[in-house]
Amino acid sequence: MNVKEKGFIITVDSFISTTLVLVFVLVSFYYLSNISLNAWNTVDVRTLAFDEGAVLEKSLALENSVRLVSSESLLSSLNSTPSGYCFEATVFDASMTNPIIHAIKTGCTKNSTKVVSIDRAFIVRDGATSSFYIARIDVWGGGE
Amino acid sequence: MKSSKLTRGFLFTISSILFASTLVFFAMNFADVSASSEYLVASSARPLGTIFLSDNVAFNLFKVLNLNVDVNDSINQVVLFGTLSTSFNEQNNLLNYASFLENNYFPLTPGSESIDLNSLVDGSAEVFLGSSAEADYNYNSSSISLFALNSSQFTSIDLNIRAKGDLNFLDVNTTVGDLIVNILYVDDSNTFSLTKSISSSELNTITLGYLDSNSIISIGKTNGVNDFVSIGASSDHNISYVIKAIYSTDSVLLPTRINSKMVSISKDYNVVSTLVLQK
Repeated sequence: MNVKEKGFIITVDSFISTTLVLVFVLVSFYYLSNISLNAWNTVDVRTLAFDEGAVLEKSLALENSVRLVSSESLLSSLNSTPSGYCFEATVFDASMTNPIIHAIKTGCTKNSTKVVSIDRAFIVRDGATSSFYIARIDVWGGGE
Repeated sequence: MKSSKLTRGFLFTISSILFASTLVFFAMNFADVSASSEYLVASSARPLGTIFLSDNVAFNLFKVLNLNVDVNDSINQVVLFGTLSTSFNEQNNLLNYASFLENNYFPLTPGSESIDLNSLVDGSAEVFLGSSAEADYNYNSSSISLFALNSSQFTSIDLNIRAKGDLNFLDVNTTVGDLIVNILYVDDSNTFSLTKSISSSELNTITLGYLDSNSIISIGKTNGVNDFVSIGASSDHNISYVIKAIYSTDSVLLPTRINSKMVSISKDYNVVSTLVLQK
């Protein structure tokens, strides 16, 4: 085998191997780019939303907001939520047609497309009668 | 020598290709495992909604019944408080709540839920305090009672009572014994406090007499039930009560459950849960 033939073989060999390695690396990147951590994030945000709903009801913030027709108690609780997440609470009557009270965490604007929503029913008891309401808690990443 | 260099070059090339293909293999496997764990995380988080829903309904039911229970197992104390009034229509409130759940609230939740309130609309709501005690709120006769399920559990009992009206007479019918009882009573015109060591093996009664009717406080043992504490309301005296009992260290009063069941059906699971207020 003369020098020219060897050079040709080496060139072909390096070309094929470089191409194959590049293809393999690109395929690896393709698979790695498909990995999503959304489920973990969504579960975290959903848990936060459920927790905040329970806190709002059990601290009587929801009940007081309806009694006083004021979002102050809701806002106070929403502003105590973890930083890095935005919270919004809207209180509806039992039929979910009329929003009665609304509060959004200070410094937050609702511009995310990944909003997790949960509902929590609560009761305002006035003497002998009970009135039923539903609070919708929206949570998304962002805020201060 | 030159031919051996060429062979080594080929071997290097093949090693590089093998290494790169291993990279692809690992990337594919990692992506597969991630996808599986993502599905696992998403599906295992689904029952979270049922847990919070059950907590929500339990809290609501106690609100509808105007009944509050708090067990603090770090100091072995159970507190039961609320208001007894003959003007409350708890049965109607419970039926309205069941209708609200079925028509308004459950349709908003994922899956299919239903609740069985039959054991609560029969005139009496039972709250199970762990395996050691029970509280029964009989709203038809406006009475609340707390009692031990097996052997004697309570070491002291405090009763705070606030009533509307004017107390006409007080009849204390007790036997001296081992159970320490403190009673503080306040109404529109009268106040009294009473501290007694009474017998837990006999039934002791304290009658609050009004002009129109009587309210009876019963403490002790009755019909084989130990540590029985009961307050019965008389007509329209809106008796606000706080029953605080200290229980022995070997008693288990958690979780607190109300006598009602919720059924959740989704594509991944079917759950029948007793409604737990406190774990």
